Amino acid sequence: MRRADHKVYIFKFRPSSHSDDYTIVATYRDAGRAEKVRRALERLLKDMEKHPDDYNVDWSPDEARILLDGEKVWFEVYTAGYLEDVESVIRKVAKPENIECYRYYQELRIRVRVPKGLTAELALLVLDREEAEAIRWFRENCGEPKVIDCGDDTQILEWFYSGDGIYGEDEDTLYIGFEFRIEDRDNWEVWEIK
Amino acid sequence: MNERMKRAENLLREIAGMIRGELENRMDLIEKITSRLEVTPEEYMELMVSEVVTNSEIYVGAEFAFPPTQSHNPEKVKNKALKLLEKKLRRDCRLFLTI
Repeated sequence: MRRADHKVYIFKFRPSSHSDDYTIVATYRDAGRAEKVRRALERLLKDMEKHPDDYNVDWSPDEARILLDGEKVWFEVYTAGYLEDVESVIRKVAKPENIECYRYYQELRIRVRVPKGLTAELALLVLDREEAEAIRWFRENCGEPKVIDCGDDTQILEWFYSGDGIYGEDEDTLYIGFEFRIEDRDNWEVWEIK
Repeated sequence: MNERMKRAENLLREIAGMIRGELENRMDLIEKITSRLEVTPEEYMELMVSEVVTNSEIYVGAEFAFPPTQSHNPEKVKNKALKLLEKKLRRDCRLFLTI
């Protein structure tokens, strides 16, 4: 008699109706394990080329990118979520400590110049509503800012952000629950690091 | 949960059991594959069951196999799941046993 109540792990990625730039970041206990997974993912891409009928994906292997950074393995591709084969390799070859999945992954450095001595907490009370909301968002999502003394009567609050895409470079706008236009504000700067 | 979803969930459970049984019948192969991996045979089987059951063709098939839609047939969904398992086992043999 077979068990009828199997433990079913829900694979994280499910196809949807529209495509996005997906970035999966899997973190392993050490760099050796990560390298092993990177090699297995390379083999997976080659296998997809040789045996396309065994894969149900909406992307071609040459569109995917695999990166290794210490104990982290990155897999990037434009897809509507057809990532089950990738996830299978990531979970089987070595046990990941953590798997994160992002859409339109970005790494940003955000700086806002404020009067000297103004803490992020006080800035919420002093600055205009949109600026205060933006600062609140970055404090909630990136933690307390680094404070850089400018040597005059101002200082810079700086955050580092990594995650789903929130910044449109062309429009110079942050999408953080509302549209926060940077180009209208001389005291704000955003750099896209990745 | 409505009646259709309950029946779909039961079908997916049935498919999970069927896939698990197929894997257990091939324990020699599973042990060979997992000897090259970090997961245990038990973990490998759990992952494989999940991979098949959460495959879009399978869970969508199960969802639409009962009234009022009934555009899929439960038996055909089960057969599709078995074929998918074969593909995935072939894939894993190529990926992990040929290195």
